[in-house]
Amino acid sequence: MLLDQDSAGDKWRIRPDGKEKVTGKLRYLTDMTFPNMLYGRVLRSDYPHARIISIDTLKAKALEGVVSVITHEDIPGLNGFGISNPDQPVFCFDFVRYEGDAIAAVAATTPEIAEEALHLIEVEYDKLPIIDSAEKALLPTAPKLHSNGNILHETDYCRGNTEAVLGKCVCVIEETYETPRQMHTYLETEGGIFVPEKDGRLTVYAPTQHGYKDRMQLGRILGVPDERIRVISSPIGGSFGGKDELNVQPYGALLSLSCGKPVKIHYSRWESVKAGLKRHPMKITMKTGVDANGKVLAHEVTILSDTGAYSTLGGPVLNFATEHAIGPYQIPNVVVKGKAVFTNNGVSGEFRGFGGNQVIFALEGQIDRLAEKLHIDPWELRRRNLRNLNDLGPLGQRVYPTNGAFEVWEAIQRSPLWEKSKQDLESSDRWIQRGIGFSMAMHGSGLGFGIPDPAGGILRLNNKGKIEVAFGHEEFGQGLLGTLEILLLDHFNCEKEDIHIVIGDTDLVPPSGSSTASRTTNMVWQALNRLKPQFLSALYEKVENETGVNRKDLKTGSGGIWTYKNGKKVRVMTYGEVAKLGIEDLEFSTKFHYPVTPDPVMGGHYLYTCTSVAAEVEVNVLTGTVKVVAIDHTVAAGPVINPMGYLGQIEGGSIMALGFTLSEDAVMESSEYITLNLDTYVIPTILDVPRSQSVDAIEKLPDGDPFGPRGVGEVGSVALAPAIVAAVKNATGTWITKLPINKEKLICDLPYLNNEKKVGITHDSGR
Amino acid sequence: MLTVEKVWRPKDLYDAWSIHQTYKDASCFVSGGTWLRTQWKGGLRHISPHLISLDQIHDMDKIEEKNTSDRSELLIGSMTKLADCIKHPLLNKYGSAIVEACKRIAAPSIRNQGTIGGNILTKTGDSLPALLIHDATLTWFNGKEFENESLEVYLSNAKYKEVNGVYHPKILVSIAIPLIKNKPQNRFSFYQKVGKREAFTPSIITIAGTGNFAANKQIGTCLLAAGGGTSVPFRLTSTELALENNDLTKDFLQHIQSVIYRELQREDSTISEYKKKVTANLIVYHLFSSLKNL
Amino acid sequence: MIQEDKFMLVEEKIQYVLNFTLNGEEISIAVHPSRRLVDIIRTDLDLTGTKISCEIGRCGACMVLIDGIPHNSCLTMAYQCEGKEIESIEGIGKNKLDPIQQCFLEEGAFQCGYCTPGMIVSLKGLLNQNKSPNYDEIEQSLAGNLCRCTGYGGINRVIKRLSK
Ligand SMILES: Cc1cc2nc3c(=O)[nH]c(=O)nc-3n(C[C@H](O)[C@H](O)[C@H](O)COP(=O)(O)OP(=O)(O)OC[C@H]3O[C@@H](n4cnc5c(N)ncnc54)[C@H](O)[C@@H]3O)c2cc1C
Ligand code: FES
Ligand code: FES
Repeated sequence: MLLDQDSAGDKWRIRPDGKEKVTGKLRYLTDMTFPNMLYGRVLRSDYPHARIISIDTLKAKALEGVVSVITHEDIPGLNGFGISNPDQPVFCFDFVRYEGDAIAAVAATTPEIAEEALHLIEVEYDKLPIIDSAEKALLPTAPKLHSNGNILHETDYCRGNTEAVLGKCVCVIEETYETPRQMHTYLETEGGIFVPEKDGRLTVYAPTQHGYKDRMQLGRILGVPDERIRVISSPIGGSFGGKDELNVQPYGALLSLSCGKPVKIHYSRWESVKAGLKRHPMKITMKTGVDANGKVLAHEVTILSDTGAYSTLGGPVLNFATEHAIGPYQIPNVVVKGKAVFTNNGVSGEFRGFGGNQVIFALEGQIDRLAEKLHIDPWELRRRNLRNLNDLGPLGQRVYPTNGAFEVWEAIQRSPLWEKSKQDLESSDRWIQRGIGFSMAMHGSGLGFGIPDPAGGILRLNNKGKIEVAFGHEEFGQGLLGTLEILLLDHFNCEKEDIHIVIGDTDLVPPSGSSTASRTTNMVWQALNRLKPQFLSALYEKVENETGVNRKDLKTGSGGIWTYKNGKKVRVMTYGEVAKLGIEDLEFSTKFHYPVTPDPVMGGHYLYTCTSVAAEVEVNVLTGTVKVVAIDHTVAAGPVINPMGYLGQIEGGSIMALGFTLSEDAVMESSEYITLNLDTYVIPTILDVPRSQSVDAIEKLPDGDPFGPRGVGEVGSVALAPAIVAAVKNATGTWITKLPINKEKLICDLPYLNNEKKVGITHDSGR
Repeated sequence: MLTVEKVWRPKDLYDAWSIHQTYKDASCFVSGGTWLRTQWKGGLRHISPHLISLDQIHDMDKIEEKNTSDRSELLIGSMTKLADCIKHPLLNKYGSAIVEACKRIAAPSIRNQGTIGGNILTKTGDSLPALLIHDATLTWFNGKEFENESLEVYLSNAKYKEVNGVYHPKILVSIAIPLIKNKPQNRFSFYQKVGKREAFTPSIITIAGTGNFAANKQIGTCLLAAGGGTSVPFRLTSTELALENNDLTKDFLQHIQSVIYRELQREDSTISEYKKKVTANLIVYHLFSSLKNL
Repeated sequence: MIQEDKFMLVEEKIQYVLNFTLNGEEISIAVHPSRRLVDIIRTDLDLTGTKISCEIGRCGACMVLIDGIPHNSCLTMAYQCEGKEIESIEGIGKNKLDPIQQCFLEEGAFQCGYCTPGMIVSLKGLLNQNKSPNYDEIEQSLAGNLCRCTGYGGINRVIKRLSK
């Protein structure tokens, strides 16, 4: 089904948070203020790598208007944070390992005074040699950034005998691919307000993708039980994985407790760039061999991932990359060896696609190159290697049966670009060369084997007579509220006035796990399916007891519970009337785990979303500029719950990938960012994108599927880069191996003077 | 901590000048302030304690034709907003490359505030190559009188002084462009900017050119300019000379390419290969397609 | 020697009183003359529909109308607003949703919504100057408004409708 307003029908709904957003009335957490609020600022390191000799805050403390200056000495609990391993100091005291490292924080009555106080803090450093690339981190002479050395995590997956088989292949492609340090570039930079309450608790208003995790991490830092902290975390001005980890929270929390007053911190873009997470830059080498029929026999992969100064999720990202380097292809002999290494380059962490984007670019590039060598159509080559319904997963683990890969492989051929790609693309201008490329991917959802991935929710009738759900998930724009509204209206056949949705407040919602890994829609879908029968039977029982109408004849509907009397629909009770009878027995909660593979394969997934993408480009060979003029997607992710949200996720993810391919790179020189703001860090504008992208949603799931909608939060961003690169190759004859595409690779000398129809470029491999 | 002590809004040039004389380095002229803000925010320079806004001075934001017995010119007030330059009928008539350049600067909202004078005085502004090929003259106020300086001379001096300097010892009043009323036959004019993305981007390369073809394929006169990135734009005088009175055959264009390479290298020894190639590609391409459009 | 009184229209140390109208309301406020408009609106007047993201004119989140025309409030100083009519997102569709806002809702032209006020202000500014813009003109008018969430898909649908 081509997703649009027409095909969606009445499921195309105005978002519940829409009106507040278009009128500017919505208060984001960084828009909030409190009486007597102070302003917090964080002092960052002067160097990417140094030993701290001394920290002197006396002068700063003496400045009028400064209320508090804190350092590592003022942390009651653990001086560290990190979702998977808390090795990032809240405040450094012995070493600094990147230029965003925090050393002290200030709270003052105005932002200007806070800023001035930072200048008055005296820190003496002893500069140390830096590690500014992943390769350097592995040199025997490299300084050790952490006590265990410079390797955060290694993966090593192996089946068959790759080395021997590669030797016998008729064709082997070996290539190294490089990907950029992409920045999330949420428009709302990190920030929040921290309010000490009269009862001694702390309320945290700060965006995150996982309120309970923040609470746990903050409790650990503050040395207080989690229950003493309340985390309010939605709405959020964009996250894309970047706000899952703590950012301002430790500083705001510590400052506000030390002052006994509300403290607000809102990073400038500079601070956000320097301190914030980025996508892991990876260098991926693949050696892939086929037989004469195009059957891939062996695939050898090494991944080198620059995880930056601290762990956060560098390990799980590498696991994900390891699995996705094999993709939807059935390959008998595989070796994947990955290393995530510490450097002094910022901190890399969670980012939409979670390591998939990098390796899928490489893997699809391999398949296209093999096809070229074998003179087989690249799409046909894919078919010959594609997984079948009941095949094992990429790491040999059992997965829930999926035919998604084949379905998207087939469906993309309905895109108008497919037909067009078979024709000669004439261009009116000789220096504009056109090409079309295709690629595909299979993307795991959920956190994968070995990582706790709990879910849960509450369904109740509240005391105001509304059907209420509470989830520990967050709304960062993806449309969770809209999805919940649609699900509830569907389940209870009621009006939006009859429901109430609670999210983003640890005092009000149950733990539901993180809103990441394309898992949220699936989790709430499953939770509601579990809760609905219990809830309805309790509700109907109550109504029967009150009214005498048989519970079997009752149905929820608009404004209350209905039945048929003499063939006419009549309302038996309103929800409000039911609520007045007492609501204690009308609350149900559920806890369960995200579906996971039974096989103990670290990080291996069980549920997948598949996608294929077609992209058409125009390359101006005078300037090397690539313009993407059309993008068509097919996505197999089960039923479409919220069409506007689904479409938005694919469109948005895709343009993020367009930036990743063409222009985005947080450039570092000697471990210092030189692209510090949106003038030099260049994301696509409206003029850089096709005017429309089509999204063909394949809703079919294997018969009897119990899991429902698979996630689409990430899949739109994982497969576009290789499609663009294939299109560029078709246009110009040049293979690109490094992103973002270097325009210099695509220019040629005076093509318009040449009489040939298609202009050859004056260099061969593009490397 | 440096803070602004005063914002001055003088009503005439003399007042503006004397405030400036009083505070010298501690003061700074402001037109739209768009570029200055990015400099302050980016930590590239401190905000001056005395800002002298020129926005209350009359008649600095007009575009008008001035005819004297010996010449006609178009006067563009330095405080003319970029958005107004784009809309102005006279500029559209006589300076299409300048209009094109203004359209490619920043985004609409910035052009509603940023001025052409400010753009020129950043010394790397995208309007400069277009103004260079229109042989623009700058009119300054030096406290006593108005003085004229060709833009080309100003820029070539600027290149060797402080690039992106804030301290302008004079006030830029207007920019004059000679009007060619009886346009010769077969005139051509082009402007192109290449950045990291399609729009709203700092330029990597900017080129502009104008001239006319004489009989058949022969180039008559021609003016070319190039800029982009942090380099101060300049005229490509050797290339212009090499082109004049020559037939634009394919072989000749190939030769011109190497002339351009050499000239670029001479003007900017650190120029990247990419910039060199693209500048040459675009100039040759535009000449060639102007020829084809004859 | 310079005579202060003659030239001095505004003075920072003694904050000067800035007069302008905001969303139709007359405002007099004592501020520093070089204070950014975005700070006056967001911090001093607590109208937070105007957003802040890059502070160098590069994202459009802070867009407001000055005398009907879009300006980046992070680049505009207090003195430049003297006597002007300023409109922020709160002034658009005050009583009834503006058709642009209605279009944004129906086309799904936003996700996180952080760029949305700026987008709507830019479009309003364009329509103030040009009653029936074509697709290209509308697209150009949004060149300075970045959106990270939508990939401009819904925004392009809005443009399609507005250009009809
Ligand atoms: C987001 C953004 C994008 C931009 N994109 C581009 C772009 O694509 N291309 C481009 O060329 N520029 C760009 N700029 C730079 C700049 O905004 C423009 O060049 C603009 O035209 C500058 O004009 P202004 O009036 O704002 O200058 P101001 O910032 O007011 O002044 C610029 C300089 O000139 C001095 N000055 C100004 N007027 C006078 C005068 N009459 N006499 C003496 N000195 C004076 C000032 O002291 C200052 O040094 C961009 C700026 C921003 C913020
Ligand atoms: S905050 Fe003003 S344009 Fe970004
Ligand atoms: S909707 Fe989030 S940035 Fe546009």
